[in-house]
Amino acid sequence: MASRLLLPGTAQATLADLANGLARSRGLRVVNFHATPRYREAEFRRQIEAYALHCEPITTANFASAIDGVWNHARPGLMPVLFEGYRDNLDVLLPILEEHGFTAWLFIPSAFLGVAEHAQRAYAASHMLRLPARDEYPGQRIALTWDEARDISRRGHRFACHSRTHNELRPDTPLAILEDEICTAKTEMEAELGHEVDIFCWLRGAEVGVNPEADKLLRQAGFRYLFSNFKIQKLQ
Amino acid sequence: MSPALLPACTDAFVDDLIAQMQVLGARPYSEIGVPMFLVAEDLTKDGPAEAIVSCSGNDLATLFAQMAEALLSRKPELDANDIARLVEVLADRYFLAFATPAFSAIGALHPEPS
Repeated sequence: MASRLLLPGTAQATLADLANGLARSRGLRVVNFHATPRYREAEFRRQIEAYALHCEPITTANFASAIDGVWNHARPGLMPVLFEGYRDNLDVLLPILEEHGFTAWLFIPSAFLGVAEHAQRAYAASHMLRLPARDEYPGQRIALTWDEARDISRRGHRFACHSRTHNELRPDTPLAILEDEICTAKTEMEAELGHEVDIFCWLRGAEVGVNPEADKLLRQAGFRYLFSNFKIQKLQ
Repeated sequence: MSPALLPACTDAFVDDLIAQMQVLGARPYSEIGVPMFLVAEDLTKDGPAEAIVSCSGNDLATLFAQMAEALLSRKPELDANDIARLVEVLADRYFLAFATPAFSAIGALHPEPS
Protein backbone atom coordinates (compact mmCIF):
# COMPACT_ATOMS: atom_id res chain seq x y z
CA MET A 1 0.00 0.00 0.00
CA ALA A 2 1.38 3.43 -0.92
CA SER A 3 2.25 5.61 2.02
CA ARG A 4 2.29 9.04 0.40
CA LEU A 5 -0.48 11.50 1.05
CA LEU A 6 -2.26 12.64 -2.09
CA LEU A 7 -3.23 16.15 -3.15
CA PRO A 8 -5.90 17.00 -5.74
CA GLY A 9 -3.60 19.56 -7.37
CA THR A 10 -0.20 21.12 -6.86
CA ALA A 11 1.51 21.65 -3.53
CA GLN A 12 1.57 25.38 -4.27
CA ALA A 13 -2.21 25.40 -4.67
CA THR A 14 -2.66 23.62 -1.35
CA LEU A 15 -0.29 26.04 0.40
CA ALA A 16 -2.27 28.96 -1.00
CA ASP A 17 -5.59 27.39 0.07
CA LEU A 18 -4.30 26.92 3.59
CA ALA A 19 -2.84 30.41 3.93
CA ASN A 20 -6.03 31.97 2.56
CA GLY A 21 -8.22 29.85 4.81
CA LEU A 22 -6.20 30.73 7.90
CA ALA A 23 -6.30 34.42 7.01
CA ARG A 24 -10.09 34.23 6.78
CA SER A 25 -10.27 32.67 10.25
CA ARG A 26 -11.33 29.32 8.82
CA GLY A 27 -8.58 27.45 10.68
CA LEU A 28 -10.09 24.99 13.13
CA ARG A 29 -8.16 23.48 16.01
CA VAL A 30 -8.29 19.68 15.79
CA VAL A 31 -6.37 17.16 17.88
CA ASN A 32 -5.95 13.76 16.27
CA PHE A 33 -5.85 10.69 18.51
CA HIS A 34 -5.71 7.03 17.57
CA ALA A 35 -5.03 4.47 20.30
CA THR A 36 -5.11 6.06 23.75
CA PRO A 37 -3.32 3.61 26.06
CA ARG A 38 -3.54 3.82 29.83
CA TYR A 39 0.22 4.28 30.14
CA ARG A 40 -0.20 7.70 28.49
CA GLU A 41 -3.19 8.72 30.61
CA ALA A 42 -1.31 11.41 32.57
CA GLU A 43 -0.03 12.93 29.31
CA PHE A 44 -3.55 12.98 27.84
CA ARG A 45 -4.87 14.60 31.01
CA ARG A 46 -2.29 17.40 30.93
CA GLN A 47 -2.97 17.97 27.26
CA ILE A 48 -6.75 18.19 27.64
CA GLU A 49 -6.45 20.39 30.72
CA ALA A 50 -4.37 22.85 28.70
CA TYR A 51 -6.90 22.89 25.88
CA ALA A 52 -9.74 23.41 28.35
CA LEU A 53 -8.09 26.59 29.61
CA HIS A 54 -7.94 28.13 26.15
CA CYS A 55 -10.57 26.53 23.92
CA GLU A 56 -14.31 26.02 23.62
CA PRO A 57 -15.65 22.56 22.77
CA ILE A 58 -16.91 22.12 19.23
CA THR A 59 -20.13 20.19 19.69
CA THR A 60 -22.84 18.82 17.44
CA ALA A 61 -24.82 21.99 18.18
CA ASN A 62 -22.13 24.51 17.22
CA PHE A 63 -20.26 22.51 14.56
CA ALA A 64 -21.97 24.28 11.66
CA SER A 65 -21.03 27.70 13.03
CA ALA A 66 -17.41 26.62 13.39
CA ILE A 67 -17.38 25.55 9.75
CA ASP A 68 -19.33 28.51 8.39
CA GLY A 69 -17.10 31.06 10.12
CA VAL A 70 -19.84 32.53 12.32
CA TRP A 71 -18.36 31.13 15.53
CA ASN A 72 -19.46 33.48 18.28
CA HIS A 73 -17.41 32.40 21.29
CA ALA A 74 -14.53 34.52 22.56
CA ARG A 75 -12.33 31.42 22.65
CA PRO A 76 -11.61 29.29 19.60
CA GLY A 77 -13.25 25.92 19.14
CA LEU A 78 -11.52 22.59 19.55
CA MET A 79 -12.34 19.15 18.17
CA PRO A 80 -10.69 16.06 19.67
CA VAL A 81 -10.89 13.48 16.85
CA LEU A 82 -10.52 9.83 17.87
CA PHE A 83 -9.68 7.59 14.93
CA GLU A 84 -10.33 3.87 14.45
CA GLY A 85 -12.70 2.93 17.29
CA TYR A 86 -10.25 1.51 19.79
CA ARG A 87 -11.50 0.24 23.12
CA ASP A 88 -8.98 2.35 25.04
CA ASN A 89 -10.65 5.52 23.71
CA LEU A 90 -13.63 4.67 25.89
CA ASP A 91 -11.60 3.42 28.84
CA VAL A 92 -8.94 6.15 28.99
CA LEU A 93 -9.53 9.29 26.95
CA LEU A 94 -13.30 9.71 26.94
CA PRO A 95 -13.60 10.19 30.73
CA ILE A 96 -10.95 12.94 30.57
CA LEU A 97 -12.71 14.68 27.69
CA GLU A 98 -16.04 14.48 29.48
CA GLU A 99 -14.52 15.82 32.68
CA HIS A 100 -13.56 18.95 30.73
CA GLY A 101 -16.74 19.22 28.70
CA PHE A 102 -15.31 18.27 25.33
CA THR A 103 -17.24 16.41 22.66
CA ALA A 104 -15.31 13.50 21.16
CA TRP A 105 -15.54 13.03 17.39
CA LEU A 106 -15.07 9.32 16.71
CA PHE A 107 -14.04 8.35 13.16
CA ILE A 108 -14.72 4.64 12.74
CA PRO A 109 -14.02 2.14 9.96
CA SER A 110 -17.35 0.38 10.40
CA ALA A 111 -16.18 -3.16 9.63
CA PHE A 112 -13.61 -3.11 12.44
CA LEU A 113 -16.27 -3.11 15.15
CA GLY A 114 -17.84 -6.21 13.63
CA VAL A 115 -14.66 -8.30 13.58
CA ALA A 116 -14.66 -11.23 16.01
CA GLU A 117 -12.61 -10.60 19.15
CA HIS A 118 -10.01 -13.25 18.40
CA ALA A 119 -9.44 -11.86 14.90
CA GLN A 120 -9.19 -8.15 15.74
CA ARG A 121 -5.41 -7.97 16.05
CA ALA A 122 -4.87 -9.74 12.74
CA TYR A 123 -7.47 -7.50 11.12
CA ALA A 124 -5.75 -4.44 12.54
CA ALA A 125 -2.36 -5.60 11.25
CA SER A 126 -3.70 -6.08 7.73
CA HIS A 127 -5.70 -2.84 7.62
CA MET A 128 -3.22 -0.20 8.80
CA LEU A 129 -4.83 -0.01 12.22
CA ARG A 130 -1.80 0.61 14.40
CA LEU A 131 -1.80 -0.63 17.97
CA PRO A 132 0.06 0.89 20.90
CA ALA A 133 3.53 -0.32 21.76
CA ARG A 134 2.25 -2.15 24.83
CA ASP A 135 -0.83 -4.39 24.63
CA GLU A 136 -3.11 -3.49 27.54
CA TYR A 137 -5.84 -5.99 26.66
CA PRO A 138 -3.98 -9.28 26.18
CA GLY A 139 -6.33 -12.00 25.01
CA GLN A 140 -9.23 -9.57 24.86
CA ARG A 141 -10.87 -7.38 22.25
CA ILE A 142 -9.22 -4.12 21.22
CA ALA A 143 -12.12 -2.49 19.37
CA LEU A 144 -15.22 -0.83 20.74
CA THR A 145 -18.39 -2.87 20.56
CA TRP A 146 -21.44 -1.42 18.84
CA ASP A 147 -23.19 -1.40 22.23
CA GLU A 148 -20.41 0.80 23.55
CA ALA A 149 -20.59 3.00 20.46
CA ARG A 150 -24.32 3.50 20.96
CA ASP A 151 -23.71 4.43 24.59
CA ILE A 152 -20.99 6.91 23.59
CA SER A 153 -23.36 8.44 21.07
CA ARG A 154 -26.10 8.79 23.70
CA ARG A 155 -23.58 10.63 25.88
CA GLY A 156 -23.40 13.39 23.25
CA HIS A 157 -20.31 12.43 21.30
CA ARG A 158 -20.41 12.26 17.53
CA PHE A 159 -19.50 9.49 15.10
CA ALA A 160 -18.11 9.84 11.60
CA CYS A 161 -17.43 7.29 8.88
CA HIS A 162 -13.76 6.47 8.34
CA SER A 163 -14.54 4.22 5.34
CA ARG A 164 -15.62 0.60 5.87
CA THR A 165 -12.32 -1.25 6.00
CA HIS A 166 -9.91 1.62 6.69
CA ASN A 167 -9.23 2.07 3.01
CA GLU A 168 -7.08 4.63 1.26
CA LEU A 169 -8.54 6.52 -1.69
CA ARG A 170 -6.49 6.49 -4.89
CA PRO A 171 -7.33 8.14 -8.22
CA ASP A 172 -7.99 4.67 -9.68
CA THR A 173 -9.88 3.01 -6.82
CA PRO A 174 -12.51 0.81 -8.54
CA LEU A 175 -16.17 1.75 -8.29
CA ALA A 176 -17.16 -1.47 -6.50
CA ILE A 177 -14.70 -0.69 -3.72
CA LEU A 178 -15.86 2.91 -3.53
CA GLU A 179 -19.44 1.74 -3.12
CA ASP A 180 -18.46 -0.60 -0.31
CA GLU A 181 -16.26 1.92 1.49
CA ILE A 182 -18.73 4.78 1.17
CA CYS A 183 -22.29 3.48 0.79
CA THR A 184 -22.12 0.17 2.67
CA ALA A 185 -20.16 1.80 5.47
CA LYS A 186 -22.75 4.54 5.88
CA THR A 187 -25.63 2.06 5.89
CA GLU A 188 -23.80 -0.18 8.36
CA MET A 189 -22.95 2.64 10.77
CA GLU A 190 -26.39 4.18 10.70
CA ALA A 191 -28.08 0.80 11.25
CA GLU A 192 -25.88 0.13 14.27
CA LEU A 193 -25.96 3.62 15.78
CA GLY A 194 -29.59 4.33 14.99
CA HIS A 195 -28.96 7.82 13.61
CA GLU A 196 -27.55 9.60 10.61
CA VAL A 197 -23.80 9.76 9.98
CA ASP A 198 -22.93 12.68 7.70
CA ILE A 199 -19.15 13.09 8.05
CA PHE A 200 -16.62 11.02 6.10
CA CYS A 201 -12.82 10.71 6.17
CA TRP A 202 -10.51 8.46 4.16
CA LEU A 203 -7.45 6.70 5.48
CA ARG A 204 -4.59 9.14 4.71
CA GLY A 205 -7.08 11.96 4.37
CA ALA A 206 -7.68 12.40 0.65
CA GLU A 207 -9.69 15.51 -0.12
CA VAL A 208 -12.19 16.41 -2.82
CA GLY A 209 -10.60 16.19 -6.26
CA VAL A 210 -8.37 13.17 -5.72
CA ASN A 211 -11.04 10.86 -7.19
CA PRO A 212 -14.10 12.60 -8.71
CA GLU A 213 -16.11 9.35 -8.73
CA ALA A 214 -15.64 9.06 -4.98
CA ASP A 215 -16.68 12.70 -4.52
CA LYS A 216 -19.86 12.02 -6.46
CA LEU A 217 -20.66 8.91 -4.43
CA LEU A 218 -20.05 10.73 -1.13
CA ARG A 219 -22.64 13.34 -2.09
CA GLN A 220 -25.09 10.74 -3.43
CA ALA A 221 -24.79 8.74 -0.22
CA GLY A 222 -25.71 11.84 1.77
CA PHE A 223 -22.42 12.81 3.39
CA ARG A 224 -22.30 16.54 4.14
CA TYR A 225 -18.67 16.95 5.24
CA LEU A 226 -15.34 15.44 4.22
CA PHE A 227 -12.45 15.64 6.69
CA SER A 228 -9.03 15.48 5.03
CA ASN A 229 -5.41 16.08 5.93
CA PHE A 230 -5.71 19.84 5.70
CA LYS A 231 -9.37 20.69 5.31
CA ILE A 232 -12.92 20.16 6.46
CA GLN A 233 -14.91 20.43 3.25
CA LYS A 234 -18.63 21.07 3.25
CA LEU A 235 -19.96 18.95 0.40
CA GLN A 236 -23.67 19.85 0.38
CA MET B 1 1.24 40.55 11.85
CA SER B 2 3.58 43.46 11.49
CA PRO B 3 6.62 42.47 9.39
CA ALA B 4 8.76 43.81 12.23
CA LEU B 5 7.33 41.12 14.51
CA LEU B 6 7.98 38.25 12.12
CA PRO B 7 11.03 36.16 12.90
CA ALA B 8 13.72 36.84 10.34
CA CYS B 9 13.90 34.18 7.63
CA THR B 10 17.56 33.44 8.13
CA ASP B 11 19.43 30.20 7.48
CA ALA B 12 19.11 29.49 11.18
CA PHE B 13 15.32 29.92 10.94
CA VAL B 14 15.16 27.41 8.10
CA ASP B 15 17.45 25.00 9.95
CA ASP B 16 15.25 25.21 13.05
CA LEU B 17 12.12 24.67 11.00
CA ILE B 18 13.49 21.58 9.28
CA ALA B 19 14.82 20.21 12.57
CA GLN B 20 11.43 20.70 14.22
CA MET B 21 9.69 18.99 11.29
CA GLN B 22 11.97 15.99 11.78
CA VAL B 23 11.41 15.87 15.52
CA LEU B 24 7.63 16.08 15.16
CA GLY B 25 7.66 13.50 12.38
CA ALA B 26 9.35 10.99 14.68
CA ARG B 27 6.55 11.05 17.26
CA PRO B 28 4.49 7.89 17.89
CA TYR B 29 1.43 9.22 16.05
CA SER B 30 -0.62 6.09 16.71
CA GLU B 31 -0.77 6.69 20.45
CA ILE B 32 -0.52 10.43 21.12
CA GLY B 33 -2.72 13.47 20.54
CA VAL B 34 -1.46 15.52 17.59
CA PRO B 35 -2.73 19.10 17.30
CA MET B 36 -3.47 20.35 13.78
CA PHE B 37 -5.14 23.25 12.06
CA LEU B 38 -7.74 22.20 9.49
CA VAL B 39 -9.13 24.82 7.15
CA ALA B 40 -12.89 24.81 6.66
CA GLU B 41 -13.93 25.08 3.03
CA ASP B 42 -17.51 25.45 1.85
CA LEU B 43 -17.81 23.76 -1.53
CA THR B 44 -21.50 24.59 -1.80
CA LYS B 45 -20.75 28.26 -2.47
CA ASP B 46 -19.07 29.84 -5.46
CA GLY B 47 -16.04 32.00 -4.93
CA PRO B 48 -13.86 32.49 -1.88
CA ALA B 49 -15.32 32.46 1.60
CA GLU B 50 -16.29 35.82 3.01
CA ALA B 51 -13.35 37.45 4.75
CA ILE B 52 -13.60 37.78 8.50
CA VAL B 53 -11.59 40.31 10.41
CA SER B 54 -9.29 38.42 12.71
CA CYS B 55 -5.83 39.35 13.88
CA SER B 56 -5.02 35.80 14.90
CA GLY B 57 -6.17 34.41 11.56
CA ASN B 58 -4.01 36.88 9.65
CA ASP B 59 -1.07 36.22 11.93
CA LEU B 60 -1.36 32.45 11.59
CA ALA B 61 -1.59 32.79 7.81
CA THR B 62 1.48 35.04 7.73
CA LEU B 63 3.50 32.70 9.91
CA PHE B 64 2.44 29.71 7.83
CA ALA B 65 3.32 31.47 4.58
CA GLN B 66 6.71 32.40 5.96
CA MET B 67 7.42 28.82 7.03
CA ALA B 68 6.33 27.56 3.60
CA GLU B 69 8.62 30.02 1.83
CA ALA B 70 11.47 29.07 4.14
CA LEU B 71 11.04 25.38 3.40
CA LEU B 72 10.68 26.03 -0.33
CA SER B 73 14.03 27.80 -0.26
CA ARG B 74 15.66 24.48 0.62
CA LYS B 75 13.25 22.07 -1.03
CA PRO B 76 11.58 23.60 -4.09
CA GLU B 77 9.36 20.57 -4.74
CA LEU B 78 7.18 20.04 -1.68
CA ASP B 79 4.79 17.12 -1.41
CA ALA B 80 1.73 16.56 0.77
CA ASN B 81 3.79 14.98 3.54
CA ASP B 82 5.93 18.12 3.76
CA ILE B 83 2.82 20.29 3.98
CA ALA B 84 1.37 18.06 6.71
CA ARG B 85 4.56 18.45 8.70
CA LEU B 86 4.53 22.23 8.18
CA VAL B 87 1.01 22.46 9.58
CA GLU B 88 2.10 20.31 12.52
CA VAL B 89 4.90 22.78 13.23
CA LEU B 90 2.46 25.68 12.99
CA ALA B 91 0.16 23.93 15.47
CA ASP B 92 3.02 22.93 17.72
CA ARG B 93 4.17 26.54 17.99
CA TYR B 94 0.90 28.48 17.92
CA PHE B 95 -2.06 26.17 18.70
CA LEU B 96 -2.52 27.68 22.15
CA ALA B 97 -0.48 30.87 21.74
CA PHE B 98 -3.12 32.29 19.40
CA ALA B 99 -6.05 30.91 21.40
CA THR B 100 -6.17 33.70 23.92
CA PRO B 101 -9.20 35.91 23.30
CA ALA B 102 -9.03 39.68 23.04
CA PHE B 103 -8.65 41.29 26.45
CA SER B 104 -12.08 42.88 26.18
CA ALA B 105 -13.64 39.48 25.49
CA ILE B 106 -12.39 37.79 28.64
CA GLY B 107 -15.57 37.74 30.68
CA ALA B 108 -13.85 37.07 33.97
CA LEU B 109 -11.96 40.36 33.66
CA HIS B 110 -15.04 42.35 32.75
CA PRO B 111 -17.91 41.04 34.88
CA GLU B 112 -21.33 42.44 34.30
CA PRO B 113 -22.16 45.03 36.99
CA SER B 114 -24.52 43.57 39.54
